[in-house]
Amino acid sequence: MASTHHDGPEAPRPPSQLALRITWRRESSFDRFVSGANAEAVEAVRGMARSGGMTCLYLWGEPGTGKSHLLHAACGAAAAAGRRAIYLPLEDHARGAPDPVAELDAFQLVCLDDVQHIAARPDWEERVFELYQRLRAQGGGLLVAATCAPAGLGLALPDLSSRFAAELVLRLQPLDDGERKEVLRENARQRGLELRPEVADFILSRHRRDLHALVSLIERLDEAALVAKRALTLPFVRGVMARERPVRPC
Amino acid sequence: MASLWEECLDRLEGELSPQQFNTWVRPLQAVEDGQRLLLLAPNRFVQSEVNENLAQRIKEVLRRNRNSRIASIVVEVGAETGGGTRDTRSGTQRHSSLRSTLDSVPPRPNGLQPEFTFDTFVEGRSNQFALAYSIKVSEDPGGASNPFLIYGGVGLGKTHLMQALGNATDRNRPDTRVVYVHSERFLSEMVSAIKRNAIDSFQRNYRSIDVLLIDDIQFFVGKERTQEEFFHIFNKLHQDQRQIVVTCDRYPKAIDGLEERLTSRLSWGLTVEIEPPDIETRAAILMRKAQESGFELSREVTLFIAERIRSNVRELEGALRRVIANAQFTRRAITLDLTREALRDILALQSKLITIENIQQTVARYYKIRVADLVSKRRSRSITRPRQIAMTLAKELTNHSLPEIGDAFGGRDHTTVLHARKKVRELRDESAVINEEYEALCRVLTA
Repeated sequence: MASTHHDGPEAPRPPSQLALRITWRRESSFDRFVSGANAEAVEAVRGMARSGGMTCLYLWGEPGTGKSHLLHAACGAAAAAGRRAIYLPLEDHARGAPDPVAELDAFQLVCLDDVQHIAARPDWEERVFELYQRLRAQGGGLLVAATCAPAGLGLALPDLSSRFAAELVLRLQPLDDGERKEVLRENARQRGLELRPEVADFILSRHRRDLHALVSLIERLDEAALVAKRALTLPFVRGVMARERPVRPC
Repeated sequence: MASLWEECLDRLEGELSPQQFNTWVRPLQAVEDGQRLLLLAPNRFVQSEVNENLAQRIKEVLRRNRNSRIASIVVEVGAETGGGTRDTRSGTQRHSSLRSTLDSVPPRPNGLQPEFTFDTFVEGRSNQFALAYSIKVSEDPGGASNPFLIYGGVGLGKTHLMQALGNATDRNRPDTRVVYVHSERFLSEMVSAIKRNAIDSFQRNYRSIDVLLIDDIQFFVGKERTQEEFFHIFNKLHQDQRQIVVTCDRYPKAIDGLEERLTSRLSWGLTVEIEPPDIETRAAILMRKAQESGFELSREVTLFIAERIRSNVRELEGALRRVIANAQFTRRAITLDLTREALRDILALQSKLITIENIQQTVARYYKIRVADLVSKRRSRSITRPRQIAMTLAKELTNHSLPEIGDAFGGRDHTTVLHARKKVRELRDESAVINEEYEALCRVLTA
């Protein structure tokens, strides 16, 4: 997910144990996930979360394909099944020392998000490798998400990338336009807003189309609508979007 | 007493195809609950398949059994576990624990995993020496081949051989203390021993082992204290004629950061290399692993995978896992089409995503211009044509919207991108050369 919660790369980091942001978002459930072409991945994640049976599952796909959502949902489902689960966003954590990783084998399901951030960080790679070995030995599960396939991670440790490659590796496909509109409408609905089809069409044709960007646009539209006491009509949405700086593609 | 369900399983195994049985029946756990038989399925696909197509058959089998009091069958998603550990009470355990070797089986306290044996090791030209000598060492631990060093790239079967050697010794000589430890584990045990001020007991423990299997010692690189401790353990064990087996991903002398006194000792005994498997071995490995998971691969599917995935056994495993998962999910047989589809991402080696940036780089390189030209205001034909092609590729191959693409090409309007697409479509229709160029670029980007 876009990291809007920290002050910037220069912000001083507290000791890593204290910095552990490990809780998952309860609202990111499987029910709220629009699967699109990813039903197989959703089912695999769900099965792993509930009953284990798999050492490692590796999900990859471009930003905004729902990787983080699925990891959060897996933690929720695992916890509901009485299993100890943890969610670790490596975008934050990989800036510090890898010490916390040594303790993760106390969990039955460990979800590592954005694992591309440990590439070429030998200390981190070794810790994650060790974690993999231990979870495997204990029958625990490691659920990994990244923006590219194992071979593309650029890991310095061939032992780790070959382990990932030996596991079930599933690619998440972006949603098609109809499914994106469904996500938009559902997000608006949860905020008590109605998003008419022509407005959704307009947004999709004029805005960045990855889900992070779309969902954050809905957030801003919600705020703007609240301030202006307006509904999400086409002219209103067009106006809000025109005031925003054009967003460069990533 | 064999449970009702076990009898039922035996019958069903005879009546169903192996694939049907392994996919849908084997994963079920049965709980007899008075007149009701509760079947626990690992996921809702198995649940619905059993409900729709197999429940009737199971009922009939049960009805034929005179001792059966079962009146109804309920299929639910779930697993019977006791406080996080596997339930070993029920008679169904024998069947439900027939896990494939693709799943991990927790190792025993000595680090040995029972599924790694010489029997399950697929022999080929690339590994036959390593296999032969591993067997030899297991028959005569502490003998002439001490230390025994196996080296070769990742995922070629070093751990399997080493574990098999350990298992065989453990079985043939029950009094022998065999311990397998991965170097990473050795390292962290040592660190924690230092923290606890217990390095003596750490040393004592390792010095009392009869057959020490230590995996992947390249992890010791640059870790002086670890090498030091291992050096002492090595000396003691070797002196007492106890067997040391070591694996490494390279020839140890070729590793920077391993002390010379250690690498020279490692070459005292016998050193064997494992090379990447040839195609026959890869095919044999695939068939073996598929069988162990309860699936049969046709010859053409086996060759399709073996010809394309060449680097190591782990990648073969990953590919097979992907194919099996897809077959189970889509409930289709493993055909060539399914295989091709399931492995699309792996085979395309699309490890990196297609971005506007790499489209621009690829197109610029292809037409021998600079990326700066593509995003510049220049409008000479030698620049405009590649720019239009790059814009079109960006629209076709990425998920970016027209305004985003326009923006990435020097802040152009989205109508410019629309125009470029139209123009490129026309050009491709008119000119075979341009059509070929476009397709070549497509192939480069998606290959």
